[in-house]
Amino acid sequence: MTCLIEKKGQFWYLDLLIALFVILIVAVLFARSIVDIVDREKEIKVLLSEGIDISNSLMSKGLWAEFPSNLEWCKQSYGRIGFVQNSKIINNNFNAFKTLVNTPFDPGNPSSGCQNPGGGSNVDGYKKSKILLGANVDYIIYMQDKDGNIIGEEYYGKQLTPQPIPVTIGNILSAIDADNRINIFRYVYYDEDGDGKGEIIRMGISVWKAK
Amino acid sequence: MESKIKSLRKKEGFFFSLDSFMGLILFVLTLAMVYGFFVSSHSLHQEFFVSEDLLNIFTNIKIDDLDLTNKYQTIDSQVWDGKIKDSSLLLIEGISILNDQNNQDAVDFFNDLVYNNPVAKTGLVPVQYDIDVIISDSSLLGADSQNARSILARQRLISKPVTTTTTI
Repeated sequence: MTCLIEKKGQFWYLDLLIALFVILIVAVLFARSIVDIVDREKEIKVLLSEGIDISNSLMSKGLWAEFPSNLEWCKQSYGRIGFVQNSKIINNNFNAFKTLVNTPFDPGNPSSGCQNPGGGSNVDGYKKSKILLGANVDYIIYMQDKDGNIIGEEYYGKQLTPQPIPVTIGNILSAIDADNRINIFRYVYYDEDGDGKGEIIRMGISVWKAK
Repeated sequence: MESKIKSLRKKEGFFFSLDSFMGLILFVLTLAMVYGFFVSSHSLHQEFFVSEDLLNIFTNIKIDDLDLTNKYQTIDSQVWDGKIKDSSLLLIEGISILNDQNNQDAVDFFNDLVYNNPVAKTGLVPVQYDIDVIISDSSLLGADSQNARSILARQRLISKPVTTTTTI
């Protein structure tokens, strides 16, 4: 009898509660971690898909209306942005793209900015470029030579804050504020000054979803 | 009897701690395996773009189109030395002809197009990728593909310029 009474202490109610509490915490942490990994992978897949679509569009020769004026992606209601043909950057198209993404919109001046294909007030050039590219994510593009230098020390697309100074690949990528970011590299021939002599460069496209 | 009771009481706490410890190991192990699965199954899009875009450039751009003086000194010296006799050839033709003459010249030609440091393999292509050019089943760069995690190949058919000579 004494022996049985003593052995009841093996199964403490408090011990069971503590064990259940620990198992519950571990189970919740485990479930949250698995869900977080799966969600992150889904977002990365979406970013990759968008990045590929943007890069394929840019690597095309583009499309724009013949009238009222060529290469005016800003003023027209339709078109496809692209500036590469037969692996060569078409300087006219590329300059038009640069002009487009650098066009600002001033709310105090409704005629500024670019025409909104969906109707309503005008938008800035970067937003118009996203509409024409069919992009639901933010993007920037930059050109690098084989020495790793950013050509023209410029990047094109969403204006980053703070501005990366100097404009290097490291400063550009660290200025992007996002949980996930995808970088895609495409390769083209670029004759910057149009003298018939150019080089093979890497066009980097970074896409992300703003926080 | 009392010593038996004391020893039983001592064993309770040890069992509880060991159980939690083993549970924690299982938890961490499973998380690591799940995460490792996602990391190891990556897409091949970037490999495709590297191969396809470079091949497109080699089949569309001529040696004459390059800024040899400022950007491609090795190729410039090959032209001056007479190793490249016709600079109106496409890049891919230049690689093939140089390979016929001397494998090292073709390697230097390719490296000058793509790398700024061929030893460190830094340049246009990210360092985690290795490239090889295979001409008629013969590897130009001798890259080690046996230990590669993934391999992607793109190919083109090219015709070599035929030179005829007339002797009297």
